[in-house]
Amino acid sequence: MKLSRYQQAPRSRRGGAMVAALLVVFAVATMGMIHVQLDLSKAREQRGAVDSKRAFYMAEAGLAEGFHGIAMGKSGNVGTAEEPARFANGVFFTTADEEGDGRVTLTSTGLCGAGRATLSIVIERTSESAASRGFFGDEQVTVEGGALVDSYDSRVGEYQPPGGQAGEASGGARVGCNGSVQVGGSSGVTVVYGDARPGPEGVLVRGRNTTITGTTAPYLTATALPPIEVPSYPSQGSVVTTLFAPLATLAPGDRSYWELHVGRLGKMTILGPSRIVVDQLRVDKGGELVINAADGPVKIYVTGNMNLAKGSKLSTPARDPIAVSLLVSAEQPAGAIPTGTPPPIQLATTGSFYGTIYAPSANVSIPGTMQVFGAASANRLTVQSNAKLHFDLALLIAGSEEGSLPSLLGWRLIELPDVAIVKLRYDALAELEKAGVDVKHAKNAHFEVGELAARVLPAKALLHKRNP
Amino acid sequence: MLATILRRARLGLVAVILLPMMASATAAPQPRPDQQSAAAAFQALVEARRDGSTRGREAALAELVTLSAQERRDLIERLAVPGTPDGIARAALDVLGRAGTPRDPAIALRFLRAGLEVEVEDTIASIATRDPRTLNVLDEILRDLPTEARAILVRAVERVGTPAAAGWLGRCIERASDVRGEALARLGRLAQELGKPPPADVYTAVRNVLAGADSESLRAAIIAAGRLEDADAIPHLIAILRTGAPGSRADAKWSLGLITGLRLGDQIVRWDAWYATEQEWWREESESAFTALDSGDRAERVTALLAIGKLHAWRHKLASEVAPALQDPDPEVARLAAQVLGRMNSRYVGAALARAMERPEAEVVHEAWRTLRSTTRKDLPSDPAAWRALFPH
Repeated sequence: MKLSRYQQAPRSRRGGAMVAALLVVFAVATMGMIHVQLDLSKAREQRGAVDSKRAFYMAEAGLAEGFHGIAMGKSGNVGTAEEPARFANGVFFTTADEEGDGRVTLTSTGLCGAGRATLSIVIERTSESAASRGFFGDEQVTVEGGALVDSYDSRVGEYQPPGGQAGEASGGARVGCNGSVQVGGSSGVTVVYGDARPGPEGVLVRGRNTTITGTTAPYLTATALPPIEVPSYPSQGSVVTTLFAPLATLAPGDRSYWELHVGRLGKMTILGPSRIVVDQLRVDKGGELVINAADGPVKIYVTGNMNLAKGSKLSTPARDPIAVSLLVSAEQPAGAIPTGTPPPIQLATTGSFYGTIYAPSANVSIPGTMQVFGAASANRLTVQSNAKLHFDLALLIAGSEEGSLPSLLGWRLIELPDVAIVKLRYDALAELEKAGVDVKHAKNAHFEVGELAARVLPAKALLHKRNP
Repeated sequence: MLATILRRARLGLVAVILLPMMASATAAPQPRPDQQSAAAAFQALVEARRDGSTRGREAALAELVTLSAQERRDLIERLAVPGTPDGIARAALDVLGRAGTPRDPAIALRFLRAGLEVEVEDTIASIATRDPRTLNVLDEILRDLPTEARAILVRAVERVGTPAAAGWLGRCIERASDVRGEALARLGRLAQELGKPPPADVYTAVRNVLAGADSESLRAAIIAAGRLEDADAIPHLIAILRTGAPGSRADAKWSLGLITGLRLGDQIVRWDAWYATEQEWWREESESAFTALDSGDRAERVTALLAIGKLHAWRHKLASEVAPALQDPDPEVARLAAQVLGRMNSRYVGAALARAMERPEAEVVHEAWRTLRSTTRKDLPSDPAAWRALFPH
């Protein structure tokens, strides 16, 4: 009998290796599971860290967007907690709080994946535009007896006289000077619904029956009026209206003239958008100059003389102070002006002017027959008796003509706000999209000044439903 | 042609007005030769002013200045009548401005009319600057003057720019309610330019307005208190911050900031708490601190300086106590004193700091220089002579 080469193990011992192998497999599987779990945990941790970092940068992007908005003349608010702004694969919302003295606190919350971060900065609008100074003089400002200076916000609505509910914004007028300010005279009631501030070495002298509702504290530093940079365009000669050709219209565009002269009973209309450089701007008695900025802004640079005679009319039908600028670069002659020589600016016209007047080197005297809605800056500014000036608060944030940016005063990391979107456990962007919310891109999510409160926030109910 | 005739006719008018006046003044049939030469010099002055000839003006003025005060007064007084042409009035004021005496502002004020306000103000300012006794004369005439003339005096006296002028404005605040607002405004500005504190009466006058019922002048007084950096006005200003109208509150906030260097805004509770703390220091610790500063050992002097460096009110008083420490034998104490003075930002210790720059220790000199630059806002080099020239006393 031939025996098997390998002797079979006894029945009772068969399967022992299997058990050992199973044990090994089980051990390996367990170790594998542990490893996978560890890996997953690590990945989650890493993703969390990455999300936190992304959220941090998202919040930074929100701050930058708000900063940029303020530099552009917007409110600084970008998105809201209910309707945040989209940036790459995350969202953020930035709020801007006015702190006074030109300071703004921007707070931005960024959300990316499961990461959340909130940052805050304080910025200062260091260099204001000339128009944002209100009615400003370099050497001297005189508001004669009987004049009224107040304010309104053209973005909110039409001007309302002070006193009523609608006229609440009237207290924000700005009268200022690098030198001294004289408000009021011996006759008439003079009212400044706002500030009247002399320069650091100037004084404020008040006449009888004078009311100033804001501060009269001197500025701590003087503000230079920057010179006007006059653009250069090909000359189109002169445009003069006569009795036989009383009407003239200057089409939109940029051009230069030697003279624009509106004769008696003539009417000249300047249509925007346009930039006009003119050496002599004259409107005779009975003539009318219409600056129509309905289709775009109009800037008129006067390099020589501007004479809007008594009995002439100046009108700005678009009623948008931001859209119309009269910039006079001529210099006031030193000392007394010789007889027969016209001063750079003679303003005796009638009408309501919506716009800004800027004459850093010339003296401007606003007559009692004129109402100015906007702002005016000049070397010496005189507001004659019974004149009415209404500073447009929209000019405060209408952007700096000098192109200056706000300056950063402080930065800090703060706690997350107590709002629904921050408490979401999932990716906020994905959730908002799932809910059908059209999340705007950051550049389209800026709010204008005063706009935020009026917004309807459609995502609010949705988010509250998910996180009661 | 016609213009030339008219000009000559106007000049002739000077002689026509002047010579008979002088003749009648002396009750003589013909003016004396010296009177004639004075009239001729005056006429030359009018012509030179009209022609814009500086040399001619100076020559005529030089001749008129040699007249006795009485003769000059007689000459000018007779021109100070209604209807005198502006050119002649300006020339007369020119003479007074150049050589007027304390009695002459009253004559200058007789020329006051629309268009000549600046010239009258210039004249009075020149006389008062030249002779401080003028302020006493102005005290006497102030009461009888109309508001316009009082306002001219206020402006002229501000330009004198001395502590005595500040004192006059303080008296004006108390006596002339119609120009109180303007006097307060100008006093505030003058105080910022003075190298030493104005008289104590001035502070009292401003505080009286702050505490009084003259609402017309209250705003001006708030600003003046700030510009005077009057720490004793702090309670009044905090009270205004608490109960005043919005405009007054804004002004009070500004003044408190200027006096203390603190920016506590509208937070009345914090202002109250801060003021109570500082008052307590003055009540409880000031005496020992000043004694330590004067005669304590090094550690006590340093502790005192550090304690004083934390205070904000009565900065100028504190600065005057700290200033002697700039000459402390220990350079570290002197350096610390300069640092504390820099934080106090007092403009009244410039001379002491300039002296400290003459010390041999570089660290003291550097700190004193830094403080001088920050308090004066002048970018002078680290050269003791340059600063000594700025603070000669």
